[in-house]
Amino acid sequence: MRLLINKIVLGLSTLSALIGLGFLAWILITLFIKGLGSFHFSLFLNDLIDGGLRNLIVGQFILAGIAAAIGIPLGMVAGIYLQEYGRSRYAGLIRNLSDIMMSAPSIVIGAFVYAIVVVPSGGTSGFAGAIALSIMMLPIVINTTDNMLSLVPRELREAGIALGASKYRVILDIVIKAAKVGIMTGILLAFARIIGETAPLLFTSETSNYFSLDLSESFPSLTVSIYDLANEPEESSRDLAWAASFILTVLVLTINLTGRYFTRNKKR
Amino acid sequence: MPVMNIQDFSFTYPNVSHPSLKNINMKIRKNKITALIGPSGCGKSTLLRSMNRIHDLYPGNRYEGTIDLLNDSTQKMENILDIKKENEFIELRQRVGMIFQKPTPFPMSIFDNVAYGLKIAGIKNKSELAGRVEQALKDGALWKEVNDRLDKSAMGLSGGQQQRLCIARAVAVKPEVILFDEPTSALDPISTGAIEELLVELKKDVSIAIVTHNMQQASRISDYTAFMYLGDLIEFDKTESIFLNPKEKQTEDYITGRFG
Amino acid sequence: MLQNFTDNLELIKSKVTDIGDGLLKSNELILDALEDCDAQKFHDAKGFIKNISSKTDEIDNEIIKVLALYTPEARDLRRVVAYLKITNELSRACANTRSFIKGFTDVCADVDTKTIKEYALPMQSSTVKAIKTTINMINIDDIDEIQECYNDVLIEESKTDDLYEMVEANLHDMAKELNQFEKFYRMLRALRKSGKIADRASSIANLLVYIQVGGNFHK
Repeated sequence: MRLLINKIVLGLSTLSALIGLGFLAWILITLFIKGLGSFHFSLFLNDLIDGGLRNLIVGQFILAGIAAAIGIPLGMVAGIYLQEYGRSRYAGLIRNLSDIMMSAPSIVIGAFVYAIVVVPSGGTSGFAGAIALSIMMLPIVINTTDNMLSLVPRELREAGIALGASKYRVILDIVIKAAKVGIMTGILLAFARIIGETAPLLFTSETSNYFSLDLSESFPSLTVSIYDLANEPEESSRDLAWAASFILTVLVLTINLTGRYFTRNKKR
Repeated sequence: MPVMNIQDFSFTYPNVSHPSLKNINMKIRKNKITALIGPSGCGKSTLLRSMNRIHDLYPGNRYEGTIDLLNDSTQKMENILDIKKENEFIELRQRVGMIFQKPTPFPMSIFDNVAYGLKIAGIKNKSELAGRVEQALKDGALWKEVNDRLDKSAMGLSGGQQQRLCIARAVAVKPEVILFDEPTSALDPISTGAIEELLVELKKDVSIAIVTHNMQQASRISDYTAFMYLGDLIEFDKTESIFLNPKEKQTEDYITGRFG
Repeated sequence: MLQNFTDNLELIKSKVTDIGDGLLKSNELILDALEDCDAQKFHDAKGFIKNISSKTDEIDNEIIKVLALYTPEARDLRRVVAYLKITNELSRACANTRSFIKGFTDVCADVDTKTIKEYALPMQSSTVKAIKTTINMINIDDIDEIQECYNDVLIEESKTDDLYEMVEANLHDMAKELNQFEKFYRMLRALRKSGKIADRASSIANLLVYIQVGGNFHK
């Protein structure tokens, strides 16, 4: 009887896994077919105004890059503070806030940045978009730094102290080095996450048809443009949207897989 | 003259109502091995960790009594419980080293591991560093095995080698006392034997205090033994006396395996 | 191997050998003394077996210390336990030697040198050989060599047994007159001690073999 129940449960769980994987496969296959159909290398050479995607891809990277330049150092320092110095009630508060922010809807963050940056500055800008993305990235980096540092055994810190090192030396020389791979992986995954975000950029940096490096104006974004293109009536626009989605997916997948590859090495 | 003198020492952890150590009186004698034995929870590790004030990483402890450490240059005993300033703590830990139960190699090369304490102490000269590292690795009975791969990561060493690396690292700064907190419980019998031999050699240069839950280890290598139970020091005497003619019944019961 | 442990074992072994050497020298000197009933030599022989009980106590305490501190196993355990029993045997052998000296000091006064030489010398000679071989065995580790030596000791020991029987028979015949009987009886009793010493030597040799070979105690 128990054997039968075992088999049933095994069967059901395998079925659910297959269904989940099935949908994933369906999405990827659809993307591939539709995307590849409209894909050609001139997409990388022309800007949107000429029917290409170059300015959008470059723009998305720049936005994500600036967000990372803000979010990573801030997030790491906060994470280090939480783990190494945080015994007070403040630490608990910050951790809770960070967790809440991680689940905040991305559109709300976009609206928030709209209110505090776009309105006072008089218009949409790349800056605003980058800020919105960095706000999204911050709690992820804090969380990953905090967690990876907590995995470093207590004795390692004590061993450093026992040799006569000061607390900050122990953190810099030993603890961070020990958690290095985990933290880097976390950061990479956070980057992969924000490079595919749309909602925070909708009201803040919008998008642009032209190649631009001017962050004080609306800034080209791959994700926002996919949204725009998909809503346009022309067939050609929607084909372009498929191609853009395909490229975006490949991008995010690559960064993710790279991150996991490094974790695999560490586990060994 | 003893190198450490513990008098009427009591210790309470933060946010705990009753003390974990009550009125401990014992000495650490120079160039001898003193073992702390007793059943789990008797306070032996707590006592050991008080000797280099590593409890103070986690603030809120309450101390009573004194722990005196001999100052070699003035030949005076100084109470280490009075230390408050950061640089005094650092100096204390350079004089009283510690080895942990789990080997704790730093995530760096073997050379950098051993040189770490030296660099903190301000030694920058490359040849001096190299010389001291070599000497420390020899004192730690590790030189022969690693002298051809000093720049490789320490994480690639076996458990026994890692522990000897930690010992070499501690010995490099030439401390007066080294505290060992169950240094071989995580190791196989061969590595354990190697480290026991190492300890007996080391006592020529350093005074040693060792916590062990293995009574035979204490009887094999120590000169003095302290038996502790539930925060009290029950008996402290020459190892020969403790294991042949213990004075307290509790000690005898523990040694003969009738409890604990 | 811990230095402390090996040092302690070596110390015990050398102390046991010391007592053994004393016993040997004493008996060798006795052999010499028997040549011409030299009272001085008998007296000097006693000097080699002085303070035996305090020496054996010292060794016994050392052994107990080693057992408590180092929990020896296998050959090491057999070694220290065998030494514990050997000190007993050595102590008794020394007591036997003293009795022999006392006994023969009297005998020399009564019995003629020729008779003494005829009967006592061969026995004591075998005894001395037995002791010598046994004491040598303390420092031999090779199993084959030790077995050989053990056999030699057994041979000497059985020689003393045979010789004693012979002496007993002869003296019986010689001492048909009552007053002679007592003199010769005393000599017989004294000679018995020599035989006992040889017995002790073979017990010790047996224990030394046990160290190397193991198994159970047995004679």
